[in-house]
Amino acid sequence: MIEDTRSINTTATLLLMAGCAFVLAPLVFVVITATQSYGDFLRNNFSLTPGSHLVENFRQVWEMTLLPRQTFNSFVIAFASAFGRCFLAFTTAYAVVFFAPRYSIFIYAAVLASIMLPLDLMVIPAYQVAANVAMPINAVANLGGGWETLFGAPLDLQLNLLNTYAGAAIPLMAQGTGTLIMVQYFKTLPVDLAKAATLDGASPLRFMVDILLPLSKGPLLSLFIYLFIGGWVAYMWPLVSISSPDMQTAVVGLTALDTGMGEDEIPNFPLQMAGAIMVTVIPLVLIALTQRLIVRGLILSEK
Amino acid sequence: MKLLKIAASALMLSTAATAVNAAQFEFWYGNTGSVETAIQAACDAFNASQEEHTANCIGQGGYEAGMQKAIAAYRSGKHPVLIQFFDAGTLDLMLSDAVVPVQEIMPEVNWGDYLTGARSYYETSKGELFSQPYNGSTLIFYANMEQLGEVGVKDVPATYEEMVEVARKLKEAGHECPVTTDAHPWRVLEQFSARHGAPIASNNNGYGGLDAEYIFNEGPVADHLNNLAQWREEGLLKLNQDTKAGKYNVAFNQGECAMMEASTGSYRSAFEALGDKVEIAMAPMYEGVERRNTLIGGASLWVMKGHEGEKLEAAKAFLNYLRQDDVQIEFTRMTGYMPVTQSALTKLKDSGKAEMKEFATAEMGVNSLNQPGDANSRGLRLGFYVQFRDIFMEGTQKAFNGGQTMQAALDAAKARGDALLRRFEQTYRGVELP
Amino acid sequence: MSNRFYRNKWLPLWLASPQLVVLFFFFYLPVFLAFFWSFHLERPFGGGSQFVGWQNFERVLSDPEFWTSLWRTLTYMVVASSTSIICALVLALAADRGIRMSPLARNVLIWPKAVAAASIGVIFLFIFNPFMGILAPLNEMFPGFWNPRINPVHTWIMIYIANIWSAIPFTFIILLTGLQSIPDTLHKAAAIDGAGPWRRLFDIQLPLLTPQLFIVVVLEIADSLSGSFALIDTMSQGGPGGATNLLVYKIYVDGFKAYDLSGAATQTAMLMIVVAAVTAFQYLVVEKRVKYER
Repeated sequence: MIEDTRSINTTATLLLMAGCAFVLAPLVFVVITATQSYGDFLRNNFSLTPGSHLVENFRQVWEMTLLPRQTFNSFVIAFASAFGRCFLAFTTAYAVVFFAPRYSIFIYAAVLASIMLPLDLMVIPAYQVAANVAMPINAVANLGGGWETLFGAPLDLQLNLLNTYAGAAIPLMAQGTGTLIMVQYFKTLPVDLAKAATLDGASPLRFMVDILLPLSKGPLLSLFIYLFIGGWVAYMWPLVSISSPDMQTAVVGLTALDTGMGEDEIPNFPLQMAGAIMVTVIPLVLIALTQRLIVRGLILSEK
Repeated sequence: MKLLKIAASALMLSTAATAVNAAQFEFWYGNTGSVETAIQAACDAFNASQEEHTANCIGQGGYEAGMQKAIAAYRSGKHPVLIQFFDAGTLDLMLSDAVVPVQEIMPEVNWGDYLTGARSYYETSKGELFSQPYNGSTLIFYANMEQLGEVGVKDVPATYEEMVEVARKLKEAGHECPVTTDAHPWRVLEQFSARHGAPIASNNNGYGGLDAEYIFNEGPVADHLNNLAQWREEGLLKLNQDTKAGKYNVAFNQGECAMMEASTGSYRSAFEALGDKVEIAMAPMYEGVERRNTLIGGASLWVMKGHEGEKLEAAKAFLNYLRQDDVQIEFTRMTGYMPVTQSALTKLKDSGKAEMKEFATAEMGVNSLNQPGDANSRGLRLGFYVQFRDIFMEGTQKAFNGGQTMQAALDAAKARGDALLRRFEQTYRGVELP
Repeated sequence: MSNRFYRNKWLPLWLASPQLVVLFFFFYLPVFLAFFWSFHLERPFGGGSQFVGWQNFERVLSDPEFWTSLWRTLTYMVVASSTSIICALVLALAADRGIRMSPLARNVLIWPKAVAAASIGVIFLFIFNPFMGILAPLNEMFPGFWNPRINPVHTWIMIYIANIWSAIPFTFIILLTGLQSIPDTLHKAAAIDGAGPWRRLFDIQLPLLTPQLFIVVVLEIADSLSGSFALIDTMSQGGPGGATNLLVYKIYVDGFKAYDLSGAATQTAMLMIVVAAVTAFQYLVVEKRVKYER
């Protein structure tokens, strides 16, 4: 900066300190609660005095849940859904931004609508779809008894995705945030990029793979990390679509820590917080380590 | 020769595979935590006790999630043989045409052994049990005798009049929270009206047909809620939001409040926190009203339609296994739920274990369930009842917080509840209440 | 939009088709089923579904509770997204200044992203506990000063703050990257021309930040809708006395807990219409003002 900015910088420092304190305070509270025993907690409710049960709580979480296996599941599901979403976002955004046909506007609108309505609101119908993905094919084929008159019996294809990695990950991909971000990124690229590539003799697909993909490495990587964490903390869909404990994700697996007598039992918050720490560690470390990459990746054009 | 061997082994493989498939059945349950551990233990024990059948017990992470999955699974034909549902879902299941009554498929069982309060809640109008009661709880009264002793009270109050008297003494002695409740309809509406023999809705709470209407807004329930509001004004009673702890049972456990009405399931944590200071009794009555049974809370086991042969036989064997006295007693020990049959209770008493902390609520709770019943203490057959609970809670809380009078809240809840009942009636048009 | 260079007729459709297929199965098909149920009285376990025409809609539209809840939802969308965006913007502007605190803040401020939404609710409920939380001392001096369990205004404040906490990481990162990509030369040139920091904020930084601000507005509004569920479920359950019963939460309770498929589906359909209107507004009105060219 050019002029004397000390007072501005002081203000900025103070603001950032306040922001960090605001973000850290709840996390500190989580750690303190995780150090207490259930007995302490029943007597004192939440308190800010650290206890000595942290290791004991961790051990108990380890015993009560299938954490190692479920962490692996979380990893697979979060990775698959994030990778899938990045891929879909990239190709769709390319189609929407770089092509002339006007119908691409409708494609974009169709994708955007999915941002506003979360899967959580449609769990019941989504479950039915996942239970038999061939349902729409059957419905069309059997329309007006068509299939039956032709082949003697109504078409009844079955493809059940419930309790599989695909069934957990693919529905999480049906959400257009990634596409929105990639579209916004492509729009800031120099206008003549595609033209120059064509002059060099590159086909549209070649341009996409050889020029656009390397250019988008940064944003895609940031997007991937963001979506990976989104898949990691997803709750409602894995809970509903996965029924066997050894296929379940770690975040959902923590429900095993509820004491479970319905509303009359007081939840074991220290244990739950210890569990929360154990499943949060991986995404937190991921964020802390890749923070630079995330920021750099999302910078649209270099200074 | 070689060919024969292969054929033979292939045959063996296939028979082995069918044997495994036929004898294996799925059971979905909703509980988590210690109850889940107990259910899994029961499953393992069942599988170890015989070789014919294998129970595959799958936790669904909650009653609600379990019910949703069962609904979706049933619609796509992937439902389990056996499923556990919580009390408030009873009517939905009875009318669903997705389950078969246990008494119908297992007529040989002595169903009369089940406790009155447990049976009436889950039986048809003809007295046939629709589901097998499993984890049962009910409402009882808790007192912190150390605090009551400080004002010279030695016995847990048995009536509301006594309770108020004790509460006034406590308040005069400087106690800030003599009584606490969350005023949840399970406590102040369902259990209250059942044991006072007062109706919540016409048609004997819906047992007489789906055209019932809510009538709780006049009579004992309305009086009781007005009393609660008045006691709160007077400083005798605190609701969740008035307590430091934020939840009535936490407030009781921490010694902030001296008395509460709560489920038998609350005993474990209360005992853990307060030890011998806790004493329990049946939930209080208003003077001059004859005591009826309280209702069973918790959940029961339902057999779903569309399964037959060995799978069904396996599920039946599992239900029979769970009914055994020792299995029930072990489940009670691990969870704090009550035994649900007379014989299991007798066996528990005879064993001398009934005094132990793990079993302390069993006798009291069973006693409460076994009080003489009448037409209004059987249970509820009211449509969209879970939604109605929210409506009731919303309105009465507004009244407690001063947004409207209690009577206006009850009248409005009745009107909205009736609209739900009518829509439910229309949804199940042409379906006979079993 | 001058990027539309290629004239291939069907290639874009092929490129977008994987996403469209996924959306068809797990977005549009479920949406279709929900709309289907909204014209029927549907029994949870199937069987005996009756077509009732507009009856469900008539009932929902004549229910004052629905309108209060819808109004509450719209208010929440506006307030929650604007408060979280403003907070994140201020922090991003501060972090953009390259002071000693910046690298640390850039890291710490995105940590909340790793915490599952349900845990956030539990944590903030304690922090704002009227008897033991941070405002307890004030409550002791002025009894009744703060009680989010009774006073709906307090409940809302608590929920908004929790929402800001959970929304900061994403918004902050997007805005910060936008600010960082503004060339230093622009700042220098403006400063030489005598433009002060405030002037530069409004004349350079904010206008050049519009693409990021647009993303953030769209996503925050969407997120306020879906993210509200976990916060309300853990913090207020729609109370006190129904004051925080947002439509998203009401739909969940009606459909998921009370097996009222038709009622929940009808309200979902209404919500979809509102959402479609909001999205269209964002694109038809707001996006026109976004500057992509540098």
